[in-house]
Order: sequence, then C-alpha cells, then structure tokens
Amino acid sequence: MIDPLTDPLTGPAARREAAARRETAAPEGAAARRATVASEEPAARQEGRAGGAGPLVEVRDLRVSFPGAGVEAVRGVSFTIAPGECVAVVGESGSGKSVTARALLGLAGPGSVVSASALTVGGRDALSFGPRDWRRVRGGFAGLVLQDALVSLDPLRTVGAEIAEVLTVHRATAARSLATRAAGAGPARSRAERAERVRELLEAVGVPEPEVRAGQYPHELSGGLRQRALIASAIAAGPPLIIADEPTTALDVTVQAGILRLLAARKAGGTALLLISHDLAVVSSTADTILVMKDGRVVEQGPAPDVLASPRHPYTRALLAAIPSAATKGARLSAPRSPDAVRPAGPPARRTAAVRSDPAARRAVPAESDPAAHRTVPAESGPPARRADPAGSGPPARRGTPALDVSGLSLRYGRRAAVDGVSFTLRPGEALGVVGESGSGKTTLARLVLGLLEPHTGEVRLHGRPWSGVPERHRRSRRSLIQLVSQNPLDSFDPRHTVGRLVAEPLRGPRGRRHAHALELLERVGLPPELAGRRPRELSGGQRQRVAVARALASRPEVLVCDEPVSALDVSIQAQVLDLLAEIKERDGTALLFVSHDLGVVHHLCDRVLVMKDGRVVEEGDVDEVFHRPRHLYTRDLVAAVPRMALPRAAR
Amino acid sequence: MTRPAAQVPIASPAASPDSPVPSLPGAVTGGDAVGDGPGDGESGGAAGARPWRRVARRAGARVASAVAVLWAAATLAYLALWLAPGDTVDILVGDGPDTPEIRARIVAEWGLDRPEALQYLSYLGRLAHGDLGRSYQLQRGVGEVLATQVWPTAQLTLAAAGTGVVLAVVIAVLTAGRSRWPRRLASAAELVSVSVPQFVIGMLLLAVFSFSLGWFPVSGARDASALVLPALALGLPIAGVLGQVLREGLERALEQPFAVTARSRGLTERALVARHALRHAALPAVTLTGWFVGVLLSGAVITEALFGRPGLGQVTMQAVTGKDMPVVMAVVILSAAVYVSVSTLLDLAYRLIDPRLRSAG
Repeated sequence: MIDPLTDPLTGPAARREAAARRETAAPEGAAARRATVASEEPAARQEGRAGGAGPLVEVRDLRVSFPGAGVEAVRGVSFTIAPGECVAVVGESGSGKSVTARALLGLAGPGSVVSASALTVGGRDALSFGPRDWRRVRGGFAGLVLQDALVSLDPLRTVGAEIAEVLTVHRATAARSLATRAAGAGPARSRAERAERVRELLEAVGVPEPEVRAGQYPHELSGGLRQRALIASAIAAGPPLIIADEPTTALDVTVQAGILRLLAARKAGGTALLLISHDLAVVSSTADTILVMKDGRVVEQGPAPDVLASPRHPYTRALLAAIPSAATKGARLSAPRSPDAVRPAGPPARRTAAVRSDPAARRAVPAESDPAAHRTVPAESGPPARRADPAGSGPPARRGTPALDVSGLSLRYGRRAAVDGVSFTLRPGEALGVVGESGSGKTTLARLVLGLLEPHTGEVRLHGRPWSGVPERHRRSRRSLIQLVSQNPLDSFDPRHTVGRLVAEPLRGPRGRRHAHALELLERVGLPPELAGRRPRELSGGQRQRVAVARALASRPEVLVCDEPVSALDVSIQAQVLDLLAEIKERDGTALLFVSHDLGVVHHLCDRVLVMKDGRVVEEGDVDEVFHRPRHLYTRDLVAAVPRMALPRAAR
Repeated sequence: MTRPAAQVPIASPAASPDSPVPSLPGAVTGGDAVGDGPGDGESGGAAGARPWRRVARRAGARVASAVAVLWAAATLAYLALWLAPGDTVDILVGDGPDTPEIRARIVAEWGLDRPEALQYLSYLGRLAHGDLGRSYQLQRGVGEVLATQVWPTAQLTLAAAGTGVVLAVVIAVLTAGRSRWPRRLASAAELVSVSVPQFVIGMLLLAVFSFSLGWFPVSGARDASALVLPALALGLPIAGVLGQVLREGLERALEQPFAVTARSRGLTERALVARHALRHAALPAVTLTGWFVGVLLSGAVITEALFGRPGLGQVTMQAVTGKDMPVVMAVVILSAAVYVSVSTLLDLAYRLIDPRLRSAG
C-alpha cells in the first residue's frame, strides 16, 4: 500500500483539508456515494452495501421517444445498478442501448421525450430534475466514456485541459467525494493544484509520463492512451458510476484488452459500471448483470453467467451464434436465406418477428450454442482443441495456376517500411486472411495487390501473368479479374446513382441485358430486385455491403480483395455477409484475400492466415494451426487479447 | 469522525495499471504498448530536435511565396502600363500638367531612354527599395500620398471588421441551436445585410441617423462619431455572412461526440459554446477572412466616397478618374501586399486554433 505520509493524495495537509470539507458535505445523494466510493476494501464496500445505501440507479419502465423523428428509441426498460456493480447493456445498432444510458445523464438528445414510472439517480427522483440538477449528476455522479476518444475529446484542446475542465466544473462535488473517498486531495482550486490532480488522474488510468501527456492533444496520442485519458476525465470528479458506451469498439484487440482491464480495475475499486456494447464477449468478463436489448426493449435480462451460459431468448441465442470464431468454421452464421435476409429492411419490429418465429433461425443456431459448448468458443486458449473439421472445413484449395502470386513485396515511405518482404500464394477457391493491428501494413498490402500502389521491390502475379510493374493501360483489360470490397461501401459509391446502375456499371452489352444481369447479381447476394431502384443512402449497412459484393462480382473476378468488409456491421448483419462470402468462395471458386483485425472472423472464414506486424509477416499458415498454436510472440499476444466469453465458475 | 475508508488511498488498484488484475489473463499485461509504441515514439521524439528547422523552413517558404506574389503584382501593373496604347510618357503624365520639364523628368525617372529590359529591372529595383515613384499630377511622391491616406482607411476597415466580427459572434452565439424564432429572425437579418448593396445600406444609415435623427455627422473624418456610420455600412455585410458561417459551425460542433462528453461533465450550454464550440466554429470563419479583406478594400472605395471620408479609396478613385498611373500601380501593389500579409496571418491563426495542423507540418 502507499505510504500515507508521502503519497500526495493522502498526505497530512490534504487530509486536514478533506476533513474540513467533509463537514460541509451536502446530504444530497452523499450517503450512497460515500458508501460506494469510500470502499477500496471489500469490508468497507460490504458495510456500504449492507448499510441500506440502495441502488445507485433505479429505472422502471423507461421510455424515450423522439416525436419529431417519429422514433420510439426505448420502449419500457427497467433495471437497477447497485453500488460497485457492473451492468452491461448489449444490443445491435438501433437497439436503444446508447439512448438508455444517456437518459441516465439527462442527455437522451435534442427533441427527446423521456418518461418512466421511476427514474432514480443517486437516490433522487430524476424525473423532476431541472438543468442544474442534471449538471450536478453529470460528471459528479456519473462519468461518461464514449467510443473513440479522437472525437470524444475536444480535438482542439489538450487532454490535460479536458480533464481539468471536470475539476473546474465540479469543484465542490469533487471536494466532497474525494473527502469521503480517501483523505485525498482537496478541491483543485488553483491552477497548480488542478495540474497536479490531472497528473494523478492520468497516472491512475495508466498513462505513462502523465506530465507530458497532459500537454498533448488527442491526435498526438495513440488510441489506447487517448481512451485512457477520456476515462481519466470521466472519473476526475470521483463519480460512483462510470457509463461506458462502446469504450473499446474503435481499438485494436490488444489495446482493447488493456482498456477492459482498466475498467475492471475501477470496478474492483468500488465504482459501478454501466457498460454498453454490441459485443457480448467484451462485456462477459466484467458484467455482473446483462441486459440484451433489441428494438428498444429488453429481450433478456439476468445475471451474466445465466445469460451467457443458458440464453433463453432466441435473439440472445442468435446473437451468440452469429459471433464468428473457430467454433463456427464451416457452419452458417445467419439463418439460411430466411425471408429476413431477402426482404428489404422493413421496420425493425418486423425483423424481430422474423427472428422469433422463423424456425430456420433456430435451426441455424449451431450446436455450439448449448451451454456446455460455450466453453469451446475460445478454443484458442485450451489445449489444442482441434475440432473435427466440420463438413471438411472449406474446400481443399483447388490446384492449378495460383490466382495470385506475391513474392518479396516491399513498399517504403521514407525510412519506414509499410510493407516489408511479403510473399504468399493464393489459389482459386481459397481464402487467405491477413490479420494485424492498425498500422501493420494490411491495407497497404491490399492496395499493392490491387495494383493501386506500385511496390518498390517484389512482384505480384495475377493468374500467372505479371500484375505489378506493368503500365496501367496493359493492366486495364485485366482489372476485372481482381475486385475490392471495402469497409465502407457508402464512401465508394456515387450516392446519386441507383443500386441497379451501380451494380450494372462494370457490365458490358446492351442496356436491357445489363439490367437483367444486375438483377441476377442482386439476387445472388440475397437482395430483392426492387432494391435496384434505391440509392445507397436508403439501404441498411448490410444491404450496402451486399451491393458492394454484387458489384465486385459483376466482372466475374478470380480474386476478391476484402478490406475489413464486415468491421462496420452489426454482428447479425456481419454473419449474413460472411455467409455470402463463404458461399461465393465455395460455389464459384473465387479466391478471397481477406484483410481484418478480427481474429474470430478470419478464423471462421479463412483457410490460411498471414499475421502482420510493422509491415512484415511474422507468422503464416493454416488458420487452426496459427490460432491454436501460435508460435510468434506477437500472434500469442493477439490471440490472448481476444475477448472471450467468460463463463461462470459453476459451468467450468 | 474519521472513517476508516477515508484513509484508503484513491484508486489503488488502478494506480499501478501494469500489475495484472487477478481475474484477467496476465499474458496481455502492457498490451497497450504493442499498439502504442510507434505513434508515441514519434510524438515524443519529434518535439526535441527538429522544430526549429521546420519552423525556419516554413517561414522561408512563406517569405518566398509572399515575394513571388508581390513580384507578380508589380509585373502585371508594369505590363498594364507598357501595353497600354500610346506613348508611355503620355500615359504617365495623364491629366496632369504637361510641360517639357515634367516629360524630361519622367523619361529620366523611368529610364525610358534605355532598353526595355533595363527599364523593367530598374522599376523593380526601385520598388525593392520602397520607392513607389512619383505622381506627376499631384507633384508628390506616391509613397507620401498613400502614407497620408492610409490611416483613415485603416481606421475605417479595422472598425468595420471589428463591428462585423463582434456582431457575428454575438448573434451566432445567441441563436445557435436555439428555438426557431430568434434563429429565423437572425438569419433573415443576415440575409438582408448580405444581399443589400453596401451603398444602399450606407444611404439608409445616413438618412436615418444623420439626416433625421442627427446623431452622427453626415461626412468627414473629424472624430470617432464620424466613424460609426461608415464602419456599420462596411461591417454589416461581413456580420451577415460571418454570422451564418459561425452559427452553422457552432451547431455542427454542438452535435459532435466531444460536445456530448463535455455536457456529460456537467458543463452549462453557455460554457460548452464558449470553451469548445466557438473554437471549432472559428475555423471555417477564419477561411472567410480572406474574402472579407477583399470586401473591406473594395467597400472602402464606395464607403469613403459616400461618407466623404479621406482615405485610400478616395485616392484610388481620383487616380483612376484622373489617369494618374503611378498611383494606380502603387495601389495595386499595396493591395497585393495587404492580401499577402493577411493570408500569412490566417495561416498562423489556423495553427493557433487547430493543433492538428501544427504537427502535420
């Protein structure tokens, strides 16, 4: 433990000041706060809990609507957050999970109407809160951590200024909670005191060289440090609750693991957590209680072990089944061409019905979804749980001319090598995954392969003939052989063109035939013909990605380069797109070069994998082999950092 | 009184983030470092050695481009003189007194008896020494003529710019993200001020505040009260455009994720605007500054004429109508100089406002 005499937080002067302040602590909500926040030791926490402190937050039948837009975002959600508890809300985009969380801060958004039969925040009735009350709650009672600190912290201000802002706003509150929390630093009154507090906070969230970092801007920090700084600003006023809305979604997997550990540590320190995520695996290790939301309603709610081990609601099961991983290899992730997949995006309610009633949906849930099998989901961890390849695990790579042959490919930017001596062969009907963290050179490799960049050394051969180092006019006629599916198709489509026109663009021949062919292509990717008249903006994310695939298929490519094609999609939509790609590979023998940061997705879809770091391939081989028995240290780190379903002790 | 918990140091578990938390796999300890390494090394190291060289290089490039712009302006002015039909001496004399002595002086000062290349070079050399030549109509040095008139124009344009900026900021801050009515009213006012020609605004102001109410003098530049109406006439269109851009920028900024974060800290809406949003909104507004320097310079000509104020506008008008070529040429070069210095200042302002531009180099 830290020596109270030398530690700046507990030094005698600070303690005196804190003691003085404790006298003036306002009664409002203080009981609850004291009970939770004071508890660094389990004993203290127990005392607090037993002391009838009550829940921090109690929500009964919360409804949030946006009458202007005619949207009912939240339709009757009830839950409580006890001091020190972690409640996770899981759902896909549009499920109302973020709005629910923000309603606790009075930040449901402009034009929102919030109603509830009970909304108690910090022991007070929040339904009667005025702007001043809300401002006291924000930061003081609950800190908010959003996704991607690059835009969630003010990009024009230093992180130190952002953290100090909380201290300025909550001068009184901070003093109070700190006084009760520990005989800690008093209110940060002067500039120097605030700077000192900022330094302590940055240190507390694991930011090295806090003095230096405090003076830097968000864009000067790495994603992980930025997110830590954002967390520091959320906890600056010592709130008993942290609301984290997709706190790790934009991060690389190893960085994500660090942030999750930090949040778990805050929880261990007695702070309650409301964790919002689209990813059940992310919340599974930390959450005490899990709410699964869909279309503004809670479809399943209960203690985390129960929900994860024996999901009762079909939607939860479908959600779990849709997570691609080693265990799902060779199996479909989504319901096979259910009406849902073919229909245009109807009102969400109808989709619910489809998932609920369609027996196919349940059939599609692979055997792994029964509780016992969940243990094998992170098959990477255990002893080489080499699964009997289900259904032969993809086709054996077809022999013959390699679709793509890459040897010794390098590209440097100044002194830095973006891609450094990469070689691989891709055969028809084979899927090769490329994994690595941001900046590892994955995307540059994809661009080199597409012939959008010229390598400095090395060669790309497409279907046996030189592809790199060839003048573009010789390449143009063969461009149709290799096509790209990118992460965000909306950016790569002309928004004014209709879907039909976009898909027909690469086609040749008379207009009528082109149109008919475009409709065929749409059908192939599971889209109804009436979609041909729409524009990209009117489509859902999954539909857009299907259009991108249809367009890529239009020229009958031998190689499909997919650059993070499912990273922006919800897990159930991702499942449909992955199934589609698997089908194209199987049926047409199209070779896939699949770039992704998501090991689960790669393991599910690909036959072989390249692991990249700093432009080099550090490991390559059969996916099962590489992910089950990683040889390189970096691969091991990657595999270990993948969030996995934490299962209850009982189930182990 | 002292609760046992009060002595527990704050956040001890998190204070040492690298110590593995028991419940999690220890293998990933320090995992952040994998992703953090390269980026952090750069931002740390670059701050030490290179900045001076980089600043010097950038300043050098700036100066070079400023010189190039000024040279281009001077050359174009010279070409205009040279290409104009008729005898160069006639053109330089213009409507002024025409005597053999003056003609001889012109030939000597412009080197018209020497080869054309030399004429051009000596013209450039003269400019480089700050000699703007001589007005043969006014019988004075051009530099001297302009110097006496710069101050009233500077007063007018600065006052107009100040009025425009202050009005724009006040209106934008008061109406951004507010209920419909004030917002609509403000944008209607802005639209009117932008679309009505400056001289109409000026005449309306004169009619109301000078002729009817008699609050302000009709013309002249004797004291500060004579500055009020011209500054308003010149500043209102700027306030209109700037106000719209600022409000839009504010509203966009208030929808950004960082605004949600700032609100979640308990900031009042006013503090959010003042500390966060205004700075974001200033970026597009600063871009407009280049445009409004143009408005100010050309507007000064009209406004000075309308309000009978002395200044560069008046000098330019007289020079143009009197075909006083040396003065016109000097005004062209002076405007180019103003543009160059303003755009340099804008560049600095961008970097001050947006730190992302600083490290981008």
